Amino acid sequence: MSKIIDSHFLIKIIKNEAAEEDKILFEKWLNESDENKEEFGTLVLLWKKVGDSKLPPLPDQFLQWEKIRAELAQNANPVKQEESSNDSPHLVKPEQKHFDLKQKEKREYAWVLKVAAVLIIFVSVPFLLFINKNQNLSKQIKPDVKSQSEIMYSVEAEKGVRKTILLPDESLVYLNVDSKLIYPEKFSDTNRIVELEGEAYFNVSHDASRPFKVICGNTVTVVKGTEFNIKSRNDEVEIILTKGSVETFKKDSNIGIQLKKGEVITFDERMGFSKPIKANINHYLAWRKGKFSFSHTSLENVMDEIGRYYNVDVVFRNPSERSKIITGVFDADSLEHIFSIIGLTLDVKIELNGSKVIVQ
Amino acid sequence: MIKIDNDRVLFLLGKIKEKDEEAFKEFFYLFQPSIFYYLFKFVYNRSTAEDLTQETFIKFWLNADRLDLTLSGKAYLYKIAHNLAINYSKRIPKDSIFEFEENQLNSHSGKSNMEYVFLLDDYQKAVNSLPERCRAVFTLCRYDGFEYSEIAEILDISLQTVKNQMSKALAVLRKQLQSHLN
Repeated sequence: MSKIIDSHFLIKIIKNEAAEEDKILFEKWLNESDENKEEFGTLVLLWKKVGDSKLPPLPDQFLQWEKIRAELAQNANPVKQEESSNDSPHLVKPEQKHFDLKQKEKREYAWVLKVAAVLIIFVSVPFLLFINKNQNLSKQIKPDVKSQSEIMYSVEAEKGVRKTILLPDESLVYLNVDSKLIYPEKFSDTNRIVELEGEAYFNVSHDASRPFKVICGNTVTVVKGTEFNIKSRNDEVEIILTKGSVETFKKDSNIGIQLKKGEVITFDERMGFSKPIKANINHYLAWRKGKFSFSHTSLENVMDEIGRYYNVDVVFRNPSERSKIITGVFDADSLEHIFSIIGLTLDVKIELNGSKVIVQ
Repeated sequence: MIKIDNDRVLFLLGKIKEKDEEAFKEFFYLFQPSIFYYLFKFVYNRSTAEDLTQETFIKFWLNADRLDLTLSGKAYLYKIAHNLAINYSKRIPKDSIFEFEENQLNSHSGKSNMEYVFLLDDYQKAVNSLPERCRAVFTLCRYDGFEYSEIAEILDISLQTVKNQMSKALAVLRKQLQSHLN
């Protein structure tokens, strides 16, 4: 019984898929003649060369994954949404919601929004700021097709919920709990302006011709394409840059401060901007990995942060406990664990009672 | 070709069936390169291949609950990718598919400053000149490590057709690349 030695058989040999007995058969065949050797040699060469040929670089896996995530979040079943938002005040772990996240909440009362949009985009001071630089002022105010769309989206991540937003220019925004982002349905040809309340991580797609501007509190941060985190809580805005470069302005000033990679800057209503300083990025971006990171943070701020994440109210029985200081990194998935460690460290008792946390 | 641990894939597929996002993420990271290159060999345009890659994984996830673990999950993924590629090339006139030009290196931004042209070498051009089904069979066998029976499953053709197409592919390639193979 002889097996047919054809190209299929030889390919199995090359791919190392052949059975042992076939390998023996193959060796015999190979040694039978020079012709056979040549035939096999040509096939191996063909196989190898075709496989070695140049291919284009792969798309960035991380970015592509985030796009898939954002798209699946958009596809999420709206019925599921209802259920999750009507959840009882039980603890909700934001990370588990993932693909159920609601992406866009298109508001129906269109004209109120139009007014709001006009207010946000055109009346706000940062706009005035750039008038000098921008000759196309009239073009922006006219209802030009090319101007920033008048339909605005407002996406709000309530307490206990995080959201990922894919903007019309394919920039990605990761909205932390208890935060809100307002952005237009379409960006204009000259600008990309969004407004943030709370905290978000931005991954801005590069477009030198249309600067990306984030209005947050009393600050405006201008970028071309980069990654950074902005946080505003209790009248303080904090900007940390992880990639590229950004320039940040106080709303009524046109003197910007340039941030370098890895630097953090804070803005305080009374004190203005701090000097940019080198920062521990992991600390500022812990929330993106489902962690809380505190560094000399008062218990009051710590509990505030935890309260937003788990959607619980915090009550201090003894006001003097508020100013106790904590440093450490905690996994956000176990509230009990966090409470027991803080409790032991600071000698306080933290108890969860329904949707209330009592510190005493 | 990237070596992939089959037991791990099977484990991930089980998790994906239960809609485990972390498992899906790992699965994506494992197979994104091969799916992207598979699609690229049909659409020859990097950003289209990128879009179709995304679409492939999204479809896979949305149909994950119907995933039959006795069939190869990897084969199923390729089946989705293949159908998307074929549908795409049906929509687009033949001439424009063969634009071996690539303008977007940094494809997540619409207007990247970086311009970049991708040129195929003679080997890719030869593979490329194969008729669609023939190219699919050859590609799955050569680049994606599938056995004939799996290829038959992915392309919905008989084992005999796989063999015939493979012979044809090898003959054409040998002829076209003769000058390179001496």
